This record gives sequence, C-alpha cells and structure tokens, in this order.
Amino acid sequence: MSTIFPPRAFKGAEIVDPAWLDKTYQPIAEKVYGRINEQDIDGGAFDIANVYMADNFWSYDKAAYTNKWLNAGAQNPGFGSSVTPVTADGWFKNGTVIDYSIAWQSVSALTLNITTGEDVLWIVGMTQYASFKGTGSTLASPTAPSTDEARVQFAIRIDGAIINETITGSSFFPDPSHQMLYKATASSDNYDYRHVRHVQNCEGIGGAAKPVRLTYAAPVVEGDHLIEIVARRLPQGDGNLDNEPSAGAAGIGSEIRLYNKQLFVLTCNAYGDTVSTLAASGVNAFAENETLSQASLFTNRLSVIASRMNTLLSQNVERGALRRTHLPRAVNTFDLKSISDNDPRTYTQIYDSFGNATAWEPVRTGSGTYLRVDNGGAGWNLNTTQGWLIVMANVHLWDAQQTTATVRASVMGCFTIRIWDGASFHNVMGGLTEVYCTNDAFYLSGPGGVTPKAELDFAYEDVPLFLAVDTAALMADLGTNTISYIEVSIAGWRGNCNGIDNLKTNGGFLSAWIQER
Amino acid sequence: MPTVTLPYVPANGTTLDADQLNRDFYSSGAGESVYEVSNGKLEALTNFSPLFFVFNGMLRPLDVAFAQSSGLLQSQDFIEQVWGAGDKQRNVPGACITWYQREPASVTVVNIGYHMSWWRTREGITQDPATDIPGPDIITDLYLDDDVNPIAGMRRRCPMSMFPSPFGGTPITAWNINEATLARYQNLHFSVKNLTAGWHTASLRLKVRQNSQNMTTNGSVYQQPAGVFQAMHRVRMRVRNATVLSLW
Repeated sequence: MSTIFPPRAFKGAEIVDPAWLDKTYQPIAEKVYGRINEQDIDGGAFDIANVYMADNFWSYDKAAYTNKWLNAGAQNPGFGSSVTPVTADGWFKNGTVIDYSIAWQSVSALTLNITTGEDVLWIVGMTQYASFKGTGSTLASPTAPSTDEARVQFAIRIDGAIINETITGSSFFPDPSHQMLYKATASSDNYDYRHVRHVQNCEGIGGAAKPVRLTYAAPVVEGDHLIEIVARRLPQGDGNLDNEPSAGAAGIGSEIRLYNKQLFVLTCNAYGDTVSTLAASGVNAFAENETLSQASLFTNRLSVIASRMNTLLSQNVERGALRRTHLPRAVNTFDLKSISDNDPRTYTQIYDSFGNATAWEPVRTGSGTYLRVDNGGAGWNLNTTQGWLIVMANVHLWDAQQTTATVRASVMGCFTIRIWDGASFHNVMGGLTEVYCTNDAFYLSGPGGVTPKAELDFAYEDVPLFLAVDTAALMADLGTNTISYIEVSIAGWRGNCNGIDNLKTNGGFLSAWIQER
Repeated sequence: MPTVTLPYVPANGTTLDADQLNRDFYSSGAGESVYEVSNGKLEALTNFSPLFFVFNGMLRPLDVAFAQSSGLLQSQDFIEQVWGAGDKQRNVPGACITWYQREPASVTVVNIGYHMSWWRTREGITQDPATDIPGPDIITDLYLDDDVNPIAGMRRRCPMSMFPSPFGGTPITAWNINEATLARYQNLHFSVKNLTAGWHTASLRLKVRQNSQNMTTNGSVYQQPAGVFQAMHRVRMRVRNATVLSLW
C-alpha cells in the first residue's frame, strides 16, 4: 500500500455521519495493521538488535538476513605433532578414505542437512587430501607419467544432484587430448614432442598432497536439503590399477585420504516466508445506534491507530517492505589484504629452514609486508561483534624444495590461519585450517635415476585456505574475546629428509569478516 | 518524524469540531496526523516498537545478501599460435561472471575455480638459469570490471610439465610429460570493499606465451638439433566456475 489520504475532509458545521467516520478510519487502520511497506518507512536504519536471529523460537526457524551451517571434522593431528614414523605415513593420520570407485561417494563430515526458504546458498567446501601408494605405506610421489596416481575428483552435490560446474576435473572422461592424437613411440634421433611415450590421465587432480576448496552459489526451493562435498576416483587410462611395483606386475593401487574438512553454507535470503500472523486491528466500524463520544471516536479508534503507529510491530509490515536503506549492515568488520612482488623474477621470501617441529611464521613479502588483517587496526572484539568469523585466503607457493631429496613428496609447504590475541598465537580450532601442499614440479620425472635438472623450476602452486566458525565457539577455542589480527602462516615439512632450503611464496590474498546477521 | 501526537481530543458534551478532527487525520504539522506520518515518515527509532523484529519475509529479496554463480563444463584448449606474441591475455569462458548488483555492498567476495593441465617446456632459452628466475610462459590473472591492472597478489604461474625423457636410453629419444601429475584444480579468490551498485564482471585471464623454439644452448640433456619444431605451450581448461557473494 502506497501513499494514502483521507477520502474527504469534514466541514465545519457538518453533522458527522458515523459511516463517513468509518470510511475515514478504514484505510489508515488497514495500513497500520499490516500494510506498512517500503514507501511508508523513512530512511535510517533499524538497530541491529531488531534484526531477527534464529533462536529456535519459531517453528520455521530462520534468521532474517542469512543462515549459517557448518560441518567439520577429521583433523590432522597438527603441524609439529610427534609422529612415528617421521614419514608422510606418520604425518597423516585418521583420514577418511575415498574408495577406488568412479561412483560419486559421500564423505563423512562433508554433509549438511538444512532447511531453507527460497534462498540462494553460498557453499564452501574445504579439505585436504593425501595420496598414498598401496594402502598408506608411502605418500604417493609420482615419478613417471604412468604413476599419476591421485586422479581424484570432488564436486558439490545438492539433493543428490551433482553440480557439474563444480567438478574438479573433467565432466566427461576420458577427455580427448592432444596426447591421444599424437600417441606414438619415439625412435632414435627423433626428438619430436609429439612422440610422447605415455598417454596420461588429466581428468582429476594430480599431486601427492593438496588442499582443495570448492565454492558455488545455487538457488534452492523452500524445504529440506542435503548439501554434500562428494568425491570419486578415476581409473587409469589403461584400466589397470596404478603403481606397478615392476614392469608387468599388477599395480598395487593407491589410496586417497581426506583431512581437515569443512563444509559451510550461507543462505542468502531470497523470498523469505516468515511473516508473523496478522494481529487484529481492534478498530471496528461504528455499530448502529452507537453513541458518538470521546471514547467511541477517539479512545477506541483514532487513538488506537495513533498508538499503533508509535509502536509498530513485526506483523504490521508487509512482505518485502524493507530495503537495504532501512537496515543495519550484516557485516561491519570486513578487512582484506593482498601482497605481491611486482618483479616476476623475485619471490616473496625465503622462509627459515625447518625440521619437524612447529615453526610457523607469517607469510610475507620480501620487504616484510605480512599477509595479515587487523580490521583497520581495531582488531575484533568477539563480545561486541558476534556472529560467524569467515576467513578466506590464497597464497602462491612459489617453491618448496628439498635439495637432496629424491622423492618430491617428502617436502611440503604447510599453511594455516592463525590468530594473534595480543599475547599469543592460536592455530585456530585445533589445526582445522592447516593445509599441506607438495611440490610436484621441482624434480625431473623419470624412474631411471635421472639426475635433477640443471636449472630450477618452481612449484607455482596456489594454496587455498578457509575458516568459518561461530564466534562463540571461537572464543571458547581462543580463551579470549580479543583478536588483534588474523594472518596466514607458513611452515615447511621435510619428513625424514634433511636439508630443505627453499620455501618461498610470492603473493597472496586474505579476506576476513564477521557475518553478524 | 516524531511520535504521532494527535492534536485534537474531542470531549464529551461538546460540539465536535470538524476542522480539528481533520487535523487528526491529515495535517502537515510534524507528528500531528495518522495519515501524514504513515506516508513515508515512519522512523525506525520512533515509530517502531522495541519488540519489532526484522524477519526474512520483510526483506526485499537478495537485498542484504546476494550470491550468484556461472560455469562451463566442456574442455577448451588455449594455444598461442604466434611466436613471441604471448603477452596477450584472454578471458577464459566459464571462469568469469557478470552480475548486477542492485545495492552497494560492504563485502564482495569472488571465487573462481577451474581445473587445468598444460604442456610447458623449459623456458628461458637464452637466460642464464643460475641467475635468471624464469618468467613463466603460462600465467593467469584475475580482473574486476576489466580494470587495467589485475588483482594484486593473485597472479599464478604454471611450472614445466614436459621434460626430456630418460625412457629409451641415451641420447634422449622421447619427451616425457608430467601433465597428469601437475593437473590442477585451483580455487582462487579476491574480495572488494564497498563495491558500488550496478553491473560488474570478474574474470580469469590466461596468458600462453610461446618462446620455446629451438632449444639448443643449455647442455646436452636438453640439446636438440636446430630447427626441430618443439612443443607449443598448450593449456587445457576443463570444468570451471565463478561465484560472487555480496553482503551489505
């Protein structure tokens, strides 16, 4: 209902007809008791305390702006944990195994059952995989095209339907490739690139240990929904199990395990359904023979309307009446930071050498600028700013190199989201945000004992990180309500190899905010 | 507009003053009439009860939180055909998104996820490997609204994926590729403060430079006869998507 006016004005000597009084009351009574819309409300925002938060009070329980769901689990024991043996096998414990099957399969802790309105879901899945030869004896370290053993895909699945655009690989496989076209056997003195020896599978993620983050936004209808991150293993190109122990022998297969899992869903309210039952107006038409008095005219009618106009309730407002200009922000503690080096021939920083103990240090540029946010210097007070802390980051892992190792998977660049509370660092939520990235690039391929390349090449990996946590849970984890700053930290892991030298980054982006409503 | 205070209260036993009664219904005086106050002058702090709560049904759809995705499924190859002309950057269809933002946003987060593999031979043919860190031939950047400059901190590179192979003995008789091992899914992100209302676009751009011709100078391991046509760098983009989240 838009702007309205009284149907007529009473005249000075007029004998007031109750029927005309009814006609005059009726439009404004109708409006004030349930048809207040966006045109009726002046600019200026409601107090944030007036924005409804899900509190299990309503049978259909949804917050006004957004709803948040998180499932997490299966954490790695954490960087620096004492592991035996000091190998990759000892490093990764208690992961969730992805069956060697091309069928999409659910993963524990990466599922959410939620109830929504007609909302748009912002979905973030985060996990870390490690690939093992056989069943967990050795972190897979492909040294030849025939041992591209990871071949794992992930995807977001909603109500049983794969969101094809989120598949982390080929939607259809085998994916016709140039290698297929040029498959041939090299002959002496033939250096032509087309004579590649092996046809490779490139339909899934490679590498021995990598973090994986999936994101997507999808509209859903009102009702119950199952949101999942699912995974599958793809077959080797020749149909055989991979990891042949020797020529002609049967492959021993491989195993993928997942760790540090998070599945976060933020619903963006599209067509909300929660409008309270309309209250009776209590303003009735004049009854026949009703006496016109101060009570009947003013106290019971006009004053009732005016009073309601001074104390409007939720049920007095129409669907869709409130726009952004009427509302407090959902986010007021957003901060971001990007770091980079302009010269592509330089790298950010050579970090300290490391062993197997905790040695986190901030990701930074060569000039010492940290990948760190502090909310404009104010930090975050989790008592006064409550909601969900959401942190997203990417770091360019320039290199992680073990100069003497012959197995590339023996070294990893390790990253985590850390919080400084003014007194100490916290690797939040028990190491849930830790990710580990092997360098699959630095070593010359080939099982024949070929010496390393004369020149260096680099890992050039992108490392994604993510954290979503209720501020109440975060306070319990930190033991304080104060966050001075949030940063991405780096450390290296070398397993049982000595002499790691090069751990470098170049560039990164960090975003953090508290989703209050 | 202040609290509604009706100017006229009729009293029993008196003649009803119609002109005054009209003021109760409609008056330009601040706070004097029920009609005028309700016509666009209701204020959050004065006219609404402390018990008033904003429920989701009251909100204009997607006004305070907005999300959208796009993507493509089919594989697409990117090969620069012209030697030395590789600094041209191309948008990767599917790894980009265009959206209309109805309102300004406090937070805008863009994620671009894609699966890629590539052939890239060694580079820097004339460079001194000991001192000159390669300028990689395959580079991705993120852009917002086709700005001149890419998003800082989000340039990514691809390492070599093709090597002289030890298979077949010496001298090297075949190229060995590491494409599958290096095949990557990457989920990049950047964020923006206070993005204005209107149309926006975010995109992934790819640069595939061809400069690896006639590799003859860096030792026997890599030596090739002059004039042998070498592998052209090639990038294959597979399933990819882009997602935007905007929050007030």
